Amino acid sequence: MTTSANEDIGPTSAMGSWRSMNPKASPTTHTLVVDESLRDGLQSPSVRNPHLDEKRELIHAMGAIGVDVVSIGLPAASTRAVDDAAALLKEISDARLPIRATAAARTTEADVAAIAEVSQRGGASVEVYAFIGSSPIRHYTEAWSDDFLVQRVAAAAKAAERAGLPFCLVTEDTTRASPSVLSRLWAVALDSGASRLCLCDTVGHAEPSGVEALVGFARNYLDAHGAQSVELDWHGHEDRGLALANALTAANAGVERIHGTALGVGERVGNVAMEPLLYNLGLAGRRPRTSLSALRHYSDLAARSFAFPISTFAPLVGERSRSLDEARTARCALAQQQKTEARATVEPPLEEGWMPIRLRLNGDNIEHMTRPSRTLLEMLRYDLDLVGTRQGCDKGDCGACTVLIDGEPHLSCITLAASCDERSITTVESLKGPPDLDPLLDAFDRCAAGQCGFCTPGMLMTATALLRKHPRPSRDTIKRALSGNLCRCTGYGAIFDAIDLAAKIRAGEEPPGVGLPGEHVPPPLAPQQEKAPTKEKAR
Amino acid sequence: MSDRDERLVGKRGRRGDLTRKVRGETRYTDDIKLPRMLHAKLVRCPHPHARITQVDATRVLADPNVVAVITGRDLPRRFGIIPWTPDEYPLALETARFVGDAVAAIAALDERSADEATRRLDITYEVLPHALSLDEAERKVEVGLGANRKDNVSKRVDLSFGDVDAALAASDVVLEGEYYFEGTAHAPIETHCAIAQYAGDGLLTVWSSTQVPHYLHRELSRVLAVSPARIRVIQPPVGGAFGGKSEPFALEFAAAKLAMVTGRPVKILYTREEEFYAHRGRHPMAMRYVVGATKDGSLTAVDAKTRIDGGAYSSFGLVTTYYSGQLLTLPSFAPNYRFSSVRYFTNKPPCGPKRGHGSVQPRFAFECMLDRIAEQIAMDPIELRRKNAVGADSTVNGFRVTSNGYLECLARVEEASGWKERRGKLGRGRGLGVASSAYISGTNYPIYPNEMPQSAVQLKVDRSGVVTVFNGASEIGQGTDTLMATLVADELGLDLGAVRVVSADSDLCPVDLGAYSSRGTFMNGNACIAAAREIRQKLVQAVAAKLEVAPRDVFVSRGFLCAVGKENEAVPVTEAIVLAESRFGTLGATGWYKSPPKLGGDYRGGTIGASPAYSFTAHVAEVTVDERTGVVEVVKVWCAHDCGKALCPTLVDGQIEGSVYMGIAEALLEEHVIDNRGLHRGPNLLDYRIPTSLDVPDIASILVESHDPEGPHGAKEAGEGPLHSSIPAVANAIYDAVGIRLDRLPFSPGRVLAALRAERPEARRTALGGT
Repeated sequence: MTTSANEDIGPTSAMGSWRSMNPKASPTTHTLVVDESLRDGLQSPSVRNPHLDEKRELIHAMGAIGVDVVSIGLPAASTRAVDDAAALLKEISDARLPIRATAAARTTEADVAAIAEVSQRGGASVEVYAFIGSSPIRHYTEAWSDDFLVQRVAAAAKAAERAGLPFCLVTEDTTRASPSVLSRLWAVALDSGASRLCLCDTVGHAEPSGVEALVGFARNYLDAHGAQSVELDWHGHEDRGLALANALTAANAGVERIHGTALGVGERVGNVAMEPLLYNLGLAGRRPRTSLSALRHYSDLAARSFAFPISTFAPLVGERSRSLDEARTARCALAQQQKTEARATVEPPLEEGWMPIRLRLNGDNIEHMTRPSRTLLEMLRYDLDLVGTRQGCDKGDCGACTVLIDGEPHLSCITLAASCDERSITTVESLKGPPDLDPLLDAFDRCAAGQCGFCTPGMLMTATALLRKHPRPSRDTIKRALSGNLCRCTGYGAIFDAIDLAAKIRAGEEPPGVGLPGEHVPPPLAPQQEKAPTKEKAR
Repeated sequence: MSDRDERLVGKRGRRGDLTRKVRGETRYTDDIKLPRMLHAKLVRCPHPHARITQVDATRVLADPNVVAVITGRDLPRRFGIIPWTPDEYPLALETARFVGDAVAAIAALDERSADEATRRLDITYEVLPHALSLDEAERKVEVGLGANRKDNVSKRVDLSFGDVDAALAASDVVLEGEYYFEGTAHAPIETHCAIAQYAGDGLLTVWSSTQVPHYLHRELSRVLAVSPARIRVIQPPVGGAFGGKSEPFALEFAAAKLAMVTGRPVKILYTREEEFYAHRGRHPMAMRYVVGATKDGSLTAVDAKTRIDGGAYSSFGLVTTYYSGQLLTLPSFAPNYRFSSVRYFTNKPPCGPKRGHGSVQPRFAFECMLDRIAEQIAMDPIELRRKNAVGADSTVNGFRVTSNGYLECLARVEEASGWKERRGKLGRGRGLGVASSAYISGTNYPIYPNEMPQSAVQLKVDRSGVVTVFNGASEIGQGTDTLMATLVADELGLDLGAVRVVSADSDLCPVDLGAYSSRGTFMNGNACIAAAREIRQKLVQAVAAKLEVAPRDVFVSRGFLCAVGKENEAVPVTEAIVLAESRFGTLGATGWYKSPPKLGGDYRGGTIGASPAYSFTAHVAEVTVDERTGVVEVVKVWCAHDCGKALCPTLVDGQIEGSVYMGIAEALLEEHVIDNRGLHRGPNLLDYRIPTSLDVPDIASILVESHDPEGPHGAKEAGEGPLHSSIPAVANAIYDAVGIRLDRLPFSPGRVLAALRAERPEARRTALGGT
């Protein structure tokens, strides 16, 4: 079913997808994501600082979408920030969420101390993400000298080391910094025990090729300094609309952690939006896929908590995207696919969780989108409104849901709809009414072989298959054939009689349609006669 | 219709409704899909008895697929099918009383989301002491399930007729026996389903797979605090009920409330597992009987003590407790009778009425006792029954009997089974057994006291020649729709293709009390004939005027009305309708049935079990018993049933065969067992063994017609009576085959083997092949 992701050129399957031509697109590394919503996100002037309960709920939602690392805030900002961060940390460990926590700090001992307090109160380790401006324009505006910076970094890193907390140096505005300044800052960080470096595109300045170059530069630097174990983060902003592309490029270039925020909230126009980030990393095979419904739940919650509207046209989570019938999207793809002669493989769900199937249903060729978990019974009854097929037990015990698949009786409640692709399904609705009343329908009604009628469709389908194989079955053969169809009303005798009678009607030994209503009803009304206008009327 | 050969009544005909039902053209409840419909699931208590201390829906409501959650606090008004014992809340309010008691309901965009959400509802329980058997219910009074919280008693009935002690003392033979019936489930193939819609104009419509739409209508109003005038109840065709849908259930209230809360239609469909926990099945009963007789075979006295396991709620329990004694006094009985029945509450799924409500269990015990008496005094058991047939017009407990085909039933099964020639002569391992019973044709009184009709129909006559029967009765598979069409067609000379039946819609149809107590044929049949005769009179008068004859000379034939002496001037029915409508204006009629006043005995509880008419049944069963494996096979059952008059014989046969099948299943296979944690031992159709096509005996149904003077064309019930004595007939046949008396149901191979070994210790050695 799946196609090779290593093909060098051309579409990756008969489906016709030019999605990715990346020859290296068989990732071996698992890219982690860092959720910065509760830190960087809160720096947006357009968002409300959520209540603690909302933050807790958000943390759970982050866990549900598979976020690996969460920033729990900038504790040094206020006492509330310390309280909230400690509470969130506690929540993560109490609920045993598989999430690591980070917190932001300026490169000062006081800020690191605030994180240490959070770590103590929350009872778990927190990674210190200490930031410092690294570009000339920052140095100019803040009137910082290089030496001042070096001294600050060293002090903060040492403070983290004393508190036993991992340290990451965040060089703000990395994409506009000179290699020499970066080298100096990284050197002092590594010397002071930093375990990771965070590269920032703070004002959305970079393009993907630049990101690739920067990551390469950092990686080379680390290799050259024997710091292969130090990992890289990517933190980018959306000012030029390139945040997502840059982030994916960084991931492809081997950055271990990518930052994002719910709905892309953050300073100015915001950060990389977490929803498309996760979705695309999943699609690229860089991490397990996240379900759309979980993402939508996460973004809804964020929207509520931050009092931040979801753009109608936001990818994946906007109203437009949601209301687009997923099935329709996929059906278009199916149509494309059918144009290609070869139908060797079907790419599994285009849109997650939907599968196209083709059936011959009661003689009609139909195309249908279904979920991989949908049973044939659910599809027939609830999606296609063929309610003649009944649900009695939903676990293969009663036989009320019996349909014919390629002519053989099957229990539709324990048959997956997707497994019926390219097969022929016959349901009770296929049995003809008058004027060519199906002998089984005729005989069952005549013998009162159904009372409540609920098991009867299953009986009829089993009997249809039986009569096809044994045009004149013995009573014993009938009994055995029906042993998988439970009836609670009749005691079965009338059913045996009805199948026997149907066989005889088919063989011409018994007349069909005996006692059907309508023999003594009044005749049809006579056709209207056009009368010549009478003289009175003519006048 | 005067030409008897043309009458449809009494002739074998087709059902007429089956083709539409099976092809999905008639929709059952779960077949209905409404725009924006939500799906809801009930959250059920995992403990046998627990106080609900907290319900936290935070995690559930965080799911965007979840739309609403309700708990007991949203529906804090009690209900109960019997007006004197309202002890249920739609969702448990403070305490849940059995594993499976509904505690909350969650509505979501789809069924799967609702189901998953039930696992995320955080409910804190304080577990309470529980009673899970009759013995525990008697002993552990501190569980306090009774109304006074001081014991677990649900209902106690003690009644005595005649001088039992004196009669027993004067008897030649006095036998004592103890019997136990574990109880069984209805297991209809359609599980419960309800849909509620709260329309934009504030009208609440509830579709439900119920047998009692009228009672549902009332309880919905009571519980939801909505005027009954703003509620419409529709009962689509029901996929099997057997008594299991004869009271309101949690799902109807929950769906309605959720619909009102969300403003969207809500559907709830029970899973098969929920079906077993919602239950209301046959009560477990522990029965002790003392029966006396003279040596010439006259029964002298019956003394019965019965303990009834009611499960968690009252349900119909008050009636069940009476029925366990009151319905035994026909067809063969003694002149002195005393019974003492106590129904206990236990922390098990609630029991209720199942086909043969309250009387199938004692019938098993009593008919086994009669077999032992007959043996003791060396009398043919059929002869014993004949000799003690209640011949008088009234029973020992004061029930009026208007027609009685009992002796014919006995004679017919005796003859058909070759009883005299074959009994006791079939060789070891094969035997014949007999038993007999009687049952009610509807209860004499509605469940809530009132003076209004119990059944009613309205007829609407169309110029096209179509007559529509608006019928309050519930079509649950028994065929009331077919019966109504047949009765109207006969009265008016119509083809069945010109009669439509619209049933059980509170906006369209007059009130009928529901499909329970075998009341449909008797009460609805009478109502229907009354309405049809009113129309018929108008057609006859109109035709008489046209033909210039006296109305009494006009008769109705199939498709025509004719006059004596003017047979060649027959008037087609459609023309008669036009004539009548021209003469009398728009045609329509109502018909209703009210049972005669003051039926039953003149004592407290004397009306419970009183019926306008009783059906009679006799069974002979032929069985084989494999002494190595303990497997009993019922080879053939002859069942003669006095239904008064078989209006639609094909349907009556179906009721007899279905009843016998269900009885045999209870005799051999079915057992609704709740274990010591309060869990059902196998809540599915694989473990709970209902018979397959390979498990059923050959059934010979024999129709006996005693022509009840008050029944419609003489008819009485056929839906429940033919179940009763099938079980003891099998027990007695097993005795005839291998000489063991089985006193506990079902007669599973293990129990049969154990009884065989107890009876004949050498059998044990043989079976083990030992030394």
